[in-house]
Amino acid sequence: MSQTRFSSSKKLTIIWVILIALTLSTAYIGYLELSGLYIVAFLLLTVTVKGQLIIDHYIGLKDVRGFWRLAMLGFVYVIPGIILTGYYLSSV
Amino acid sequence: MSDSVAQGIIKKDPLPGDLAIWFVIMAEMLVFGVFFIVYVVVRSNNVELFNEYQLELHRMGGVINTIVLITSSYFVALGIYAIRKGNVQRTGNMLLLAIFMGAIFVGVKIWEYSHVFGAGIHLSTNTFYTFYISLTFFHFMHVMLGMVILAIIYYYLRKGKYTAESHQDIETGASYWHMVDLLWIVLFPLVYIIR
Repeated sequence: MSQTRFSSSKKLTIIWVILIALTLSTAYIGYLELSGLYIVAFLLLTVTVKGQLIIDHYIGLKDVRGFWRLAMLGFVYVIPGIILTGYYLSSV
Repeated sequence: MSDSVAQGIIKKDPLPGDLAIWFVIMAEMLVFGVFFIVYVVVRSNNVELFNEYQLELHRMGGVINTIVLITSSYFVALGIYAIRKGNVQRTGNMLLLAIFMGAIFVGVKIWEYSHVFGAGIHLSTNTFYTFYISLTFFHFMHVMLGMVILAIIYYYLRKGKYTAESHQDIETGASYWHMVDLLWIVLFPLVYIIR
């Protein structure tokens, strides 16, 4: 198994801090009840970033062959993309 | 840099856990993905209703649950890191912490549902609540199953079944638990925040 998977518990902790910070930014936006396409885009971007961090570093797919990693990343890229498109179309 | 890279051969990691769980994970994510898309489509025809009733949700409960699930995933990842180093004690401690985080999620969710159902809200109250209740309850069941899986893994860990060289069950359970976290990471902003 490669050295890159779980190469450091410190790295896992840094990623946790990033995930929590992104979550708190989402929470703050919710607290302010902000809306609008740019806000939606930002929130979905945080979903994608958080998802990729979990997929690559917590699940450990960063150095896994092709299909499975792509399929998982597809969930955090494609679904938010479809959601953003849906919100855009409903706002037009 | 590993020897394999130095030789110009980029070796890849194997999939973590049993292959069968990955088919389960893919199926679950596909189902939830379709559910999320249907939510967006239905919302587009009921924007005002969704915006109005979304404000009635307990956002702080959702925030707490997001933090709790992310932290539980963190503990599970640390548990995997520990078992790969052969540290069974630490692996067990991390699994217990992850299960404890799961229990907090369950507690917060039950508290949230008690307020929702206590206010007389149910699946047929309106379209927003149909989605809110069905989506979150469906996810809730996955959290419960994930906790059972982690608990079983903890039991066998304590029985001495897993080592640094042999711990595929832990990787399998961890992959399932991370999926549960991933689903909530999409669900929470979609249902509770985005408007």
